[in-house]
Parts: sequence; structure tokens; C-alpha cells
Amino acid sequence: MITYIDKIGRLLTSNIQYIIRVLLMIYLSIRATILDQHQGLRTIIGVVSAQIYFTGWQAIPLISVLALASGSITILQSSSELSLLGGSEMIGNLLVVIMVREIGPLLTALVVVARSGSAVATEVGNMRANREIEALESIGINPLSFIVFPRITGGVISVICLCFYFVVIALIGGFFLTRIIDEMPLNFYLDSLVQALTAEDFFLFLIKTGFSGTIIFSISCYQGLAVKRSYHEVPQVTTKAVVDSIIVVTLFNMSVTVLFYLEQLMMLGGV
Amino acid sequence: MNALIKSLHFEKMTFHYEGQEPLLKNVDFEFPVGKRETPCNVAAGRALDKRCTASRQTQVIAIRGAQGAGNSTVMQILAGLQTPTLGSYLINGVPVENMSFEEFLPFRLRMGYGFDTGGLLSNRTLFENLVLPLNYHKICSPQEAERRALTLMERFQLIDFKDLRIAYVSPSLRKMTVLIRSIIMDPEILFLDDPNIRISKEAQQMYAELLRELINNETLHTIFIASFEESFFSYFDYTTIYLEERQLFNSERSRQKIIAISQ
Repeated sequence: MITYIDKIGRLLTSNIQYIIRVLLMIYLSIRATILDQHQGLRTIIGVVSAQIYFTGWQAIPLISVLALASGSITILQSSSELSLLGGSEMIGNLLVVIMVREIGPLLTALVVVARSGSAVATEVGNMRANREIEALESIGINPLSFIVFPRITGGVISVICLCFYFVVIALIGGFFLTRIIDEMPLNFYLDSLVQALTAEDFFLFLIKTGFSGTIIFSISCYQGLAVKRSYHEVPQVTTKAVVDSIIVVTLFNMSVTVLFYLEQLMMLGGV
Repeated sequence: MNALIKSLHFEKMTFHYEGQEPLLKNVDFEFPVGKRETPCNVAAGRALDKRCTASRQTQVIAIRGAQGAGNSTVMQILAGLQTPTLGSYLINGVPVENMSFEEFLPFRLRMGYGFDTGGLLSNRTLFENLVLPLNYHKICSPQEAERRALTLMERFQLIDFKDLRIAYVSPSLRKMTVLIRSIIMDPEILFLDDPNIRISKEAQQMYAELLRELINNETLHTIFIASFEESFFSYFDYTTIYLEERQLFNSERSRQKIIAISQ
């Protein structure tokens, strides 16, 4: 029994240490960027825009396919079920809850983990093994402001934009795709969506996508920097970065949803 | 020009890589730093000059130990690329391990480091690798940075490869670029880790010639070289620091004496 408790304790401690280290890296990278008087805005914008290009722009085809598929399936299923129950006007509310609050942020984050989180972990890990990080230090360039900060910033912007794109394509593109078999009027559909959207949805959307971007790119950079000296560590840290990012992003999205509905229930006096 | 780095000192310093035996253990050592007075008859080319009294020349210091003894590690600690596991590394009497990146930066900008392997950014061309430190720290105008880099590339026959990324050039060209970059910022102290490996005899000689020119340079006051090969040292008048039994010694005699006492 004590051994069991001991194991749980160790697991908890190591996870807390891990989170603290990642948070410390984020803090130090922001601090380094502010304190680095030599690193001009042009250098930062250059790396940030490259990151947005790789993470955001190049992911558009994959995101489009996923958004169209998930959007059309959700619209088709919910419209047929709702019309059976006689609640067709609720379609907007249902789609906002599913697409804007839940599926959009989570699916986009998972795509970004698979495409870009792994790429960043590999890139930084190779830089470490190839002594490029040491080289930067030797010429007085702080890797935290030159490598980490622009990747996190570019990643966060990309995830927010990609998720917005996902939601638009899923809701609008998905609707036009379902018109082949379902004759729902466009005005009715758009009206239902606009009525359903609230400020809380935008808030939840921004919280989920912004933090997911931060989580994915900070874990990926942290794991990349964890490579000590050898190239054989690179695939190991890449796998760890992907697995950790998926777990943390999923848990984060789940926690935000639970907290949000808990608050709603409290406001209604249910808890 | 006043030197910023006046002393380098290890104080009860121990260093080991994670999960490995210590490479340096409880080392107390003051490194010789700064220009040395050279009597007139020793200074090259001055022997026949009757007006000559003495000259101040850059010190060349060889760090020598068996393979795997930690010669490169000593250089990395001195350049602030590794921090001691225990004890202290002091620059001008101030412990480096307590300094932030920004606090150490003024010293860093006065140091040049020539890596033994790697050390170039793979997503940049050879030319971009050379001008990066100059442009980033705005040491000079971009035009001057370009001129400096191109002059050196021309001298070392790298000009034809200047727009290629490092994956597309041979290891010898990469090594040459690393060596050139180490001096491009006009450093006070130069650390050269195995400067003779991966480059031809001719390239070695050309680089040694460049260093000999820099010996009379006003800024550069100390060159540390870690190398197993005797040939590279033959170009210079140098002093040796021995690394043996996880300790540093100033001379062969003191090394033998200390080892004899410990036995």
C-alpha cells in the first residue's frame, strides 16, 4: 500500500516539476526577449512569420478537409434529429456548442500537435545535437529569445487563426455540402447561428485556442532543448513532445469546458 | 583599448556531465590572461632593431591532456558555455554561475569560440553565419559586416561557397567558417577547440598566419588552444597548461611534483 502511495507521490511530483520547468522556460523566454536590446523587432517578426507560414498556412488543406467533413456530418445529423424532435430552430445553438466551443479548438490543436509540434521538437532537438544552440550562446544570442519566444508566439497566432478558419469552413462549407441531401434554407440557418453566438463563445474560443497554442509550442521547445548531446535522443524527445502535448491539451480543453458549465450551473442555482 | 577580461579563475571547481565521472575535481587554478611583455631579442623580427626595448604580445596558451581528459570541457567552461557542477568560475573575481545571460553578455562579446565540431546554424548560408553576430549586436554597419565577412571568405577561399547552406559544403569548409567566425567580432580572448582537425595542412597554415597577424592586434590579448596535435602549436611561441588526473597544472615540473606527492 505504502509503495503504491509512494509511486503516486513520485508521479505527481515529477509532473508538477515538469510543468514548473516549462512555465519557467516560457517566463525566461519572455524576459529574455524584453531584455535583449540587440534583437530587433525585425528579427522577431521574421521568425514569427516563418512559424505562422509553416504552422498556419501550410496546414490549411488538411484543416479544410477535416472542417468540411466534421461540419457537414454534424449539420446533417443534428438537423435530421432536431426535425424529428421538432426543434429545428435549435440547430444554431447545437452547432455553436459543438463546433465553436468544443470540436474546433480540440481538433485544430491535435492537427497542430501532429504537424508542427513534432516538427518544432525535432528542429530544436537537432539544433541542440548539432551544437547550434551552443553556437548561438557563444556569439551572444540568447536561444530563449531567438528560438523559443518566436516559435511560441507564431504558434499561438497560428492556432487561433487556424481554428477560426476551421469553424468558418465547418459551419459554412459544411452547410453547402449538406444541401445536396438536406433542403434547409440558408437564411434560416444563418439566422439561427447568429442568434446562438454569444460573447462567452468568443471568450471560450480564445481561451482554448490561445492556451492550446502556448501548451503545444512550449512543450515542443522544452523537449527539443532537453536533448543533451546525441542525435539518437531527437526521435525520443519528439515522441514525448507529441504525447505530452496531446495529453495536456485534451485535459486543458476538458477542464475549461467543465469549469464553464459548472459556472453556468452555479448561476442557475443547480450547484 | 582597455581589456574587459582581466582574470579567469577556477575556485574549487568540479565539473561532470550527467551520469558520468568528474572530468575536473576541486580545481583551483588562475589562468594566465592578458598581453605579455616580450623582451626585444625574443620578439620576432625585432632583433636587429637597436631602438627596440620590449613589446607586448598576445599570449598563446595550450591546454593539453590525454584524449577524453576534458580539454574541450575546460574551454567550454572558460567561454561560459558550461557551468561548474560545484565550486566557482570567476571572471574578474565575479562568479559566472550566478550571472544571468544578460549579465554575462559583455564578457561573451569579448570572447571568440572556435568549435571542434558543429557550431554553425544549419538554416543559414556560410556568409549569413559569419555576418549574424555582427549584424545582431550591431557591432558595425551591415555594409562593414559584409565587407569583413567577404574579405575573410576571400582569403580562405570560401567565396565560391558563400551562398550555400552548411549541409551542402564539405566538413573542412564548415570548420574553416567556424574558425573565421571566432575572430570576426574582434575578440579579446579566443578559444580554439581542436582548430587543426578536419582542415588541410595548407588551411591550418593560413589560419595560423592570420592568428600571428592578430598577435600584434591591440584587442586580442589571449588565445587558448586545445589540441592533441603538436604541429599547430609549432606556429606560435606558447605556454602550456596541463590537464591530468582531473587537475590543471602550470608546468610539467609542477605536474610531476604534485603527482609524486599524491602517490
